This record gives sequence, C-alpha cells and structure tokens, in this order.
Amino acid sequence: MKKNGFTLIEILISLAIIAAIAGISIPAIYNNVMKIEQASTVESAMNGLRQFFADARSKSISKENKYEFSKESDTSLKFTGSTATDTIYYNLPEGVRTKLELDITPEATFSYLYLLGMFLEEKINYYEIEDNFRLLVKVSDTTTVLGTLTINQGLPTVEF
Amino acid sequence: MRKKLKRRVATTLIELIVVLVMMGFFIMMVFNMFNVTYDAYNFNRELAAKTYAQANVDNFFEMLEKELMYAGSMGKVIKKLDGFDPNKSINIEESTITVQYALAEQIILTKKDKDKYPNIESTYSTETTFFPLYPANIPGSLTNRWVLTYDDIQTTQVASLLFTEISTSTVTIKNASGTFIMFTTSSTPATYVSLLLREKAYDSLSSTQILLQPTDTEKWAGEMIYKSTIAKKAPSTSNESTKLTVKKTIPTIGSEYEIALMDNIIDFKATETSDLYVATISYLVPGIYQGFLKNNTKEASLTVSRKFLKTQ
Repeated sequence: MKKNGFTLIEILISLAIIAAIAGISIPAIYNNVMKIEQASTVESAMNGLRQFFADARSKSISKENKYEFSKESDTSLKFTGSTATDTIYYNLPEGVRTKLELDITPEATFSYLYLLGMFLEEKINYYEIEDNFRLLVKVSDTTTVLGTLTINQGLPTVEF
Repeated sequence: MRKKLKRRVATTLIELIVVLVMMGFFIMMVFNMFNVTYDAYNFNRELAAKTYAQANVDNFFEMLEKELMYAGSMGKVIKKLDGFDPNKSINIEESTITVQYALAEQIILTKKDKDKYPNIESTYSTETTFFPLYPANIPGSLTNRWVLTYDDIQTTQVASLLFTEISTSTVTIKNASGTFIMFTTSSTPATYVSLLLREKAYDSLSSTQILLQPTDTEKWAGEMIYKSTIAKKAPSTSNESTKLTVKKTIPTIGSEYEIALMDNIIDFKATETSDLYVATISYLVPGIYQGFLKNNTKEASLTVSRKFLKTQ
C-alpha cells in the first residue's frame, strides 16, 4: 500500500539525528557565546577604564588641580580631587559568567597622580613623570590578562 | 452509503511544510531579537568611543585657548630669550603652533628697606642697590621660585636677561646667567624685575618639585615661563597612532616635557587670518576596530574646527 506521509518511526529517527547533531554542536555554540560574552565584558571594562583616566586627566588641566589615583579594591579605582564631590570612581563591569579583577604594575610603592595632564609618580620630596604604568585586567583568581591600559605621555591607551 | 474514512497513519507533506514555515517565522523572530541586541551593543561601543574622542577634543581646545591667551609677557621680561620675538609670540606654520609666554608679577624697585634683606650678598648690599618696594611680595613660601631680571639700565649692547632663583625670603641670589650686574642708581628702575607666577596646580602638591627628565639636574617648581609647541606627531611604533602633542620648554631649568593631547589623528592644520587663528583636527573615532568583531566594523572619522579671535 502506498504511504501518504511519514511514519512515526521516520519522525523519531529524524528527531534522534537532530538531537545527535545538537549534542555535538551545542558545546561549541556555548563556548562561542561565552567567548563573545567575555570579549564584550572586557571591551566594556577597557572603554570604561580609558574614559575614567581621560576624565581625570581632563579635569587636572581644566581645574588646575591634582587628581590622585588609588586602587580601592580588586574591582574598583578612584581619582581623588580637591573635594569629596570632585572624586571620580570606577568599578569593573561583570558579565553573566565573566568575573574580572585589576592589577597594577609596577606595584605602587608611591602614589600616582594627574597634574596638568602629566601622569606623575610621587617620590620622596619630588614627583617624576611615569611612563611605565600598566593596569592589567585579568580573569578573577587567575593570571590570564585580557586587557591592558598603558599611559603614554599622559594619554591612556587600551589594548585587549 | 456513507464512505468510511480511512485512518491516517503518518504526517502529510502539507502538514510538514506548514510546520517548517512556522519554524521559519520563529527563527526569524529569534534572529531579529539578536539583531536588536547587536545593534544596541554597537551603538554603545560607538558612543563610548565618541565620548572619549570628544573629551580629548574639548581638552585640546581648552588648552589651546589658554596658550593663545597667555602669549607674550608683561614688561617685556622675556624679550631677551633666545629666538623670542616680542611682536610674534604666537607663530603658526602649517601644522605647528608655537606660543611663548612668561606670566609674571611685576615688582617695583626701591632703595628703601635694604635692612629687610640681611643676607643679601655684600656685593649688592650697597646704597646703590634696589630692592622690591613691597617685601611682602616675596614671602618665605616662595622658596625655589624664580624671578626674571632684565637689566635694561645698562646699554642695550651689554644688557642681559638674568634668571634669578629665590632660595629664601632673604632674596639671596643663587643662580644667574649672563651679565651679573644688578640694579644701580644710574637710571630709574621700574619694572625690570618680575616674579614668575607659578602654576596654580602646584598649590595642591605636597612637594613643589617635578623632575621632568631623568637626566635633569634641576627640578621644575611650576614657574610659568614656556615655549609651547603644538604639533602632529608620527607614531614611533606600529602599535601607535598619529598623535597631537604639546611640548613645553621651560627655560629657567633648561628642560622640557611633552604630553599627548589626542591619538588617532588623521590631520591637524593651523592657519591665521588678520583677525583669527583657526585650528582644524581630523581624527578617527577609536575603539571601533578592536575586539571580536574586528572584521565586521568600519572606522568612523570626524573633523572639528575652532576659531580664536586675535586680541589687539
């Protein structure tokens, strides 16, 4: 007798094949989605960091005041101006899965600050222009660096 | 006789096509949802890049405005600086602006009040030596500040510009270059000594000394005497972009520092007319070509121009 359509067995076999293909591809898709989520979080973090430094620098020129840099925690930074209301804060964004933290190199022995657009390191009784400052954005509790902020002639530059 | 309907044993092709079409609509809806998210992501990325570039542009024009405003000096105190033309304190070439200035506070001299400066070198502690009329203008807190001394009393041929550092409130002369002749009674001194103003930002520092170059022997105490050069700077490495920089030379310590004002510069031009200075910057909006969408992005560029009225 001629069949008018698909049998239950045929549908089940088709579904099984689809399930098998999905089983193979879903982990790859998931990994890609996670990579995109991580890249997006890191990019957001680096753009925010760059703007944070650019704002402090801009204010150090327009307000003719120093802006002292400090690391508040592994995920937050601060530039302190002359008053409490003149302070700029930065907090690292968090992704759904991506958790990031900040690291400074070289490790701050003295404090850093912006003055007249220059990024300075405080020494004993004087200041020096700092050109080796690096701010690293890492995956939490690992050494994997995903982004770096450097300051070149006072201007923040990011790489990620 | 009623025909008995035969029971279907399988899905028909029509049913399958209907299901496929419905699935197609569903997939399109999901895809559109992702598309909206992607557009929002791109919008945010471009907004961040534009905000950063705009902050730098504003910063640059604000700095340029100040530089142009300060050009020149009071009392001709820097007319003896090398290469300084008092009639051309702002010099504009195609892509370079050079501004020279010394912001100084004029001090009127007198023969009185000599006793208020007991430690002044004996050579100058004579009846023919002049001192600032208002001693309070040089308090002890001005340690390491500089005065510019223009000895205009002498004939033009031997007159020299002197850089004189105030080391204490007693006005001991610590350092000078050129002819070391102070003030005499042979003429009427009036505005020949100017105390250089200091950058206001220095008031917020715990120490008032900045080492500008590792090899410098003297540190900068913030005296506002500059030769500023604003120009486009080519990248030194393949990772860098073209920058707009300002280099500030400070003649009192013979040193200089350079800061970058903007990166990703395409072009910078400065021109002048009889009434105006015009600065034009073209720059890439940075950040668009970074990250995982590297192959699927385009670089945006902007051109900004600003005019500054010449003062008489």
